[in-house]
Amino acid sequence: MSSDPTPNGPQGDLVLSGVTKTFGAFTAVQELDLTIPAGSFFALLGPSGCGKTTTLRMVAGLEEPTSGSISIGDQDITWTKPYKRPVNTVFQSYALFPHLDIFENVAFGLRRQGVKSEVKRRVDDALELVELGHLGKRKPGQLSGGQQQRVALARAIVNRPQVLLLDEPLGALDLKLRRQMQVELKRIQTEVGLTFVHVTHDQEEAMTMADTIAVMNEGRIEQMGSPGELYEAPTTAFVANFLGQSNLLQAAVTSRIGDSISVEAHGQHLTLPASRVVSSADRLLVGIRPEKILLAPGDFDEPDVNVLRGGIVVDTSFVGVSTQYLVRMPWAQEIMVFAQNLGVADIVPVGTAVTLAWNPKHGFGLDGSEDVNAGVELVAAAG
Amino acid sequence: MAAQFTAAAPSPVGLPPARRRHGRWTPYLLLLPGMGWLALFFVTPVFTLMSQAMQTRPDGAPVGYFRQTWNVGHYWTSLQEYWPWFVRSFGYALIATIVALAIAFPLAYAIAFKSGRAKNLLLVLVVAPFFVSFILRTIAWKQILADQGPVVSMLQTVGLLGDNGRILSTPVAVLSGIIYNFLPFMTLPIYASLERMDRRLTEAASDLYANGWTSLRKVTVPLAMPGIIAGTLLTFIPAAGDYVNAALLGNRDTAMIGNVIDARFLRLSDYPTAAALSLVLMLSILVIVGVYVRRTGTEELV
Repeated sequence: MSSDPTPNGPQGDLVLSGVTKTFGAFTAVQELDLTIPAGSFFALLGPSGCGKTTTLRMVAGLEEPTSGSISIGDQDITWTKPYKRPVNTVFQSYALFPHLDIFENVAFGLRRQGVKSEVKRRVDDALELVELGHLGKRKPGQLSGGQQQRVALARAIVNRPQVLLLDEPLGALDLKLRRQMQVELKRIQTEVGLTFVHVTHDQEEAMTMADTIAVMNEGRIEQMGSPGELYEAPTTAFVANFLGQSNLLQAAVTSRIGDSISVEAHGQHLTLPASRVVSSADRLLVGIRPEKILLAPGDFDEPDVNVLRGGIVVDTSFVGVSTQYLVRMPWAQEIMVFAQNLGVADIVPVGTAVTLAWNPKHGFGLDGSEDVNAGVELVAAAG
Repeated sequence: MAAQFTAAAPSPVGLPPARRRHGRWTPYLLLLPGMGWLALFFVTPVFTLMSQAMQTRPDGAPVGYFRQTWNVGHYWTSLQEYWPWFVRSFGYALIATIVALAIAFPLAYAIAFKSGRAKNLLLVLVVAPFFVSFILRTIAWKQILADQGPVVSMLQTVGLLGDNGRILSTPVAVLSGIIYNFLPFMTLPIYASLERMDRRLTEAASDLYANGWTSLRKVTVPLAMPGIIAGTLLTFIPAAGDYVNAALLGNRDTAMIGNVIDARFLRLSDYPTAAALSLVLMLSILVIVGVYVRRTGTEELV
């Protein structure tokens, strides 16, 4: 019964095994297996309704899993009451106690645990950490959104939980403040060294802060890895489209020679490294990120480069750091190209016939049976 | 040019000064009907009472005949003579308030958080008694608590009440009546406070190591405080001055100060004593409420 909620000893990994959660006929989380290493900044990324918040609430103990188990280190917490878990949450709504001042809000967890002598010092330290040391006597209602967010963070961190859960903590802030808090959160995580599990639908937020990202979709984890891995080598169409933008081309494998796979896409010959192809099927989706593509007016030919011919620029938008082109291909697909603003070339006008080229090692191959548009509309919705 | 510009600045929209002055009087105009009503039906009677309380009956004068003698001593002598009734009134009011709170809080909590679709129905049921007059309902309680009534016979069967035991004409009957009659006044403000509360705060409390009981004590009750204070005031104040329940359900030994005032005024025509008692009652309630509100924190009332 007396599980000490503030262990200062070694922390354990947070492990979810086979966790499923159903609400009536709806399955929110399906057979989830996840290991979050102690001390890491972990992001659960996905569109709304993908089960990420439900997963977080199960770790917090605010929902009970339908099946499966959750443990921290060697301690099984699947059925532990929320108030006995070494876990604290920063809620999306902050959920600060309006009747208590900032100091007492932060002290709430410590007082419940029976901490006596250290309360003042620890609360002051936590408030100092979030740079609100001077506001202890105010009530939550007198603080701005950004300040309330920091109080919510201090209120959770002060307990030194083994795992800190953040449920879209920056969702209510405006863009500028969000950027600032992203940096801040990352700094605090490094400083306190706790395990952070951050739930968000904002891919940029996840990439900025997390060491490891798990992309969730429809109750399952699509792919997990470092931001770089997920971006450079997505393994599903959903990840390719949800995390940044991708161009996906239907293609058929023509030959596999050594480390190189040759494919034919809409009559054009392309190659890509075998190590970047996740499927052994004969039909593939060849993916290429918009900024990896070189756009050249007229024809273009060079050995060892993938070339797509016959495109016509149908839209250009200049966004300062780059110009975004939409190029219509003969097979009616529109391909997105980002050209960095190096100040060398002029903007290619709409209607120009262009050739697209990229280094084969930048392409990636997905299973050909996947939906090319998986996750596209969700980005628009989440944005 | 510059001078002109600054001069124009206070009324930039170009409102004519006359209309602005008119606007300044609007709040007082709005207050006028209420103030008029209070002056007529509260302030005037209070002064009448004060003057009446200082009258004396001349020797040999007929019953009900008094002369103004500015005898301030009536306040003191009436208090000296009737203090047990004051004590009983405030005692009953206090007990009734505490019991009503104990009943109303769980009730309001259940309606606010646990009733699901039955919420509106339950709220109507709380208010439903008001469709029947206060006096009629109290008379109905007389039937319920009667010597041959269901409550007494049940308590006798269980053995909680002796064969000759009764409830009517006891403090229990008076208290039951008071509690019953003022329960909605306790329930509704508490319900309103709980209803407004963000349920996620209890989740936050449980996330911060508070079990159900602690979270109730440290989060739910403090946030329901405005409703609790309003409810206790709405129960305590009228209960302390109540005389209907004691008159219909009690006997001589359960008479409250309201019954004494009633008897002095209407049956014995002892106006000075009745007036003095009324004023003392008003003043003591004012003091008690003042201390209570001060102790529990005035900002909770808004």
